[in-house]
Amino acid sequence: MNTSPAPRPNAPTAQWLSLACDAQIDADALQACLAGQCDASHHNDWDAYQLVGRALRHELHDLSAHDPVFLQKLHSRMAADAIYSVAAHAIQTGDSAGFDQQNLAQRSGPAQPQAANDARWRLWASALAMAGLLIGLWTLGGLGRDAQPLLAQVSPADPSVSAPQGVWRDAQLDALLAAHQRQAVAVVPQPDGLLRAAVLEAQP
Amino acid sequence: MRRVAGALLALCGPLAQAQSGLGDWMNRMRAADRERSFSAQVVFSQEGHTTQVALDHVCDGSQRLERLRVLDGSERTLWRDGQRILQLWPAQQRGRSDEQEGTLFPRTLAQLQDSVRGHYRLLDQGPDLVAQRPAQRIDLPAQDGWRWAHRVWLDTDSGVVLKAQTLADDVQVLEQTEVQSLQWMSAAQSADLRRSVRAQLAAPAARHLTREWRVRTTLGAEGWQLRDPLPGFALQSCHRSLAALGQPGQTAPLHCVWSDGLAGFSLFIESNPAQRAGHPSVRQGATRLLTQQRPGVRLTAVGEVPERSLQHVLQNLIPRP
Repeated sequence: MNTSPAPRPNAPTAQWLSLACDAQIDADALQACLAGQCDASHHNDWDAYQLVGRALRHELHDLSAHDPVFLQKLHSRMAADAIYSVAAHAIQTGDSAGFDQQNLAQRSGPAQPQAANDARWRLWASALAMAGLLIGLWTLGGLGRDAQPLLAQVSPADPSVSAPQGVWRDAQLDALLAAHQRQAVAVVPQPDGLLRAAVLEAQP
Repeated sequence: MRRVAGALLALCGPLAQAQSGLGDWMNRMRAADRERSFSAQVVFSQEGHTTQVALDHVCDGSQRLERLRVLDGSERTLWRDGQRILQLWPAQQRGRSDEQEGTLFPRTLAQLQDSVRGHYRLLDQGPDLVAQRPAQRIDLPAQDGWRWAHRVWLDTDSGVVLKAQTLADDVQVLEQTEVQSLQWMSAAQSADLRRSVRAQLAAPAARHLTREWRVRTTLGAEGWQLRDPLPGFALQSCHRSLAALGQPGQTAPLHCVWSDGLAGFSLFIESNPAQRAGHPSVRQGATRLLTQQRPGVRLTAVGEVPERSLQHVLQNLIPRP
């Protein structure tokens, strides 16, 4: 996650809007932009980013104002994501035998060569890819009405597999989480907060 | 009747033995942490994702010195000398220097044992094998719904923790740390690591180094009180970061940390926070996060505890009369 302050362009780019969604641009600058320099396409992009972010945080129940068909398809697409499926399967097996590394390696491939093995970054990559796809479809005016053929190619999620809840999608929350992990202390040494901090804080 | 009593005794025997062995178990684990120097390949698993970490551990008196190198994804290293921490991200040439405010060690072993004994059962599950080493498995199911259950595998010979799991409902593994290989360090290797950790902390190899400065405080001094504290969780530290000082319009959040010995949670209190859409509620491995917006204040509770525990904390935090 980029933490350096983003320059304010004359007209907002998609990247700038994405940073704004991550709370990396102050609210006043954003408000000024939205009031003066944004056209309808920017508003659409903003809305789509917000929607994807909230969907990733499993807040779809709050989004009744949005197109229900679109939301249903978005949720289905997320539930079908292979990353979620692997994770949920490993957790649902329940005991340590079901969670051991060999089983995980068989399901998700060898662990060591995976470059993007950090959970957040893999999910971020998925989220960004999905956001791109959704915005493209939205811009073409197809999603929610006649996008059925594209989304129908996604295989339905295994009903026995429940998706883990939530993804960090907020720079401020990330910072609070990291601060918690650095300060958390436990009597069992290895799984203490610092191990989590080292693993999960992939970027400064 | 005698048979029933006999059966009950047979069932309760190992439990009673395990409960009385709590001190022994914690002593062994703590002694291993302080007396053993080792290098280990550790795999951290969370939500089906695995990350390999190289851990080098040495102890100097009561000071724990460690180097944690994450082997997957973007390169990063964490160094620890007692309570001092240094995180480095070499690709970005960035680093962060920090200090742990709270520590369990000022609490006596007896206090720690009381905390754990009061809120977890202790079940000695006997011998097992981890990283091809004989291990003793200990289950710690929670006695109430305020905390997760834990399983710990100790190296039979040394007491080093070889594997640890955090579980929901005593069966669902939320998070796991497992040693894949363990090698003892020679005296020369220990001395090398000690020098290396201290040299790095003295002069971090980072072009941009952020240093966290804090002031200690208390909930009461900040105008708050926890009406009904979470059972078994003792306050470890309360502080305010000074990082936001000098930045107009920004106030660093108040950060308080509680621990029951095995798990912990943090409460952040932000005054006049920047606007954020919705009230995020997040789950990641054993970690849960809840936020609550009040007039002019945002509360964020995050920790390795169930959501209901965080909810309880948020509901019971009130302004001090």
